Amino acid sequence: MAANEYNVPSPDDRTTIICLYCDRAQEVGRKAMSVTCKFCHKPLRLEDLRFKEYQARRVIDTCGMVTVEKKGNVVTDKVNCGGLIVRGKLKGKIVSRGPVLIGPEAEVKGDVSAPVLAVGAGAILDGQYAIGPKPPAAT
Amino acid sequence: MAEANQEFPTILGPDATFKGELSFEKGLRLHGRLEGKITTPGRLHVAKEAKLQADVEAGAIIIEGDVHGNLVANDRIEMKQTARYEGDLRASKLVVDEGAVFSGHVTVGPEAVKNRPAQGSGTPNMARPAVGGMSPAQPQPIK
Repeated sequence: MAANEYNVPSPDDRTTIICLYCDRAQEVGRKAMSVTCKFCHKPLRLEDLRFKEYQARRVIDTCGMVTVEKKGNVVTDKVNCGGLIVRGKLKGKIVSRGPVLIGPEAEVKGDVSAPVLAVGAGAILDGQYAIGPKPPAAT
Repeated sequence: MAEANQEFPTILGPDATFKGELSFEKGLRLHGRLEGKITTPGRLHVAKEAKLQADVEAGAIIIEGDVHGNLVANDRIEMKQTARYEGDLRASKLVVDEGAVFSGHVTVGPEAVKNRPAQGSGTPNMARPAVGGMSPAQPQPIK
């Protein structure tokens, strides 16, 4: 059996994340589900979250993408994420390190802070928005 | 070009500065600077190089340049990639392209414009004659 037939992850199979707490970038394995920030030592979830139904949560914290599907209805105090896609309903404060994409049938109620925002015509929005390359520091 | 002029019969050029209240019927393309207040049932297009510091009430607003002030659009507000906006906006529909930078309170939805809080004496009157020498287009009798 040739050596290249083994399924060994290549050293360059890594991705860069930004810590949700200290805002510092670091490299992690692409398949890692959670890590500890090497700067502030806080635990970080890396997995993508997908909501397809009603969910009430205190905080949604992940460095990955959060997706609220068409039939999803998420009520939360805060979404702290690496990116956000909303096709359904979302109520709560949003702090995203990556792009926030709001579909044309989405309903988003709450303050939004993100570097990039794209909104489809028809979305229902209500809140304070801070969109730009350097959003205000998360509280 | 002729079609563009029909959609935006009024153009404020890049070397023009306007201060005051402005009202028009169809559309205005802003390339220069405007400070004050705009009232129109038509469309307002703020070009890339334009600077607008005004409270605007319009049918539709397209932003490519710098805008400061409160915006109300009965139909839609579009922010293009180069848009920079600061203020509160209220519209039936909002379209934001990736790259637009803005901050302020956003109220968007079919009810957003209908349920707008009543304004004081400054409620714009569409029938009011234009200020600043720019008169709204008069409807022509059909022959």
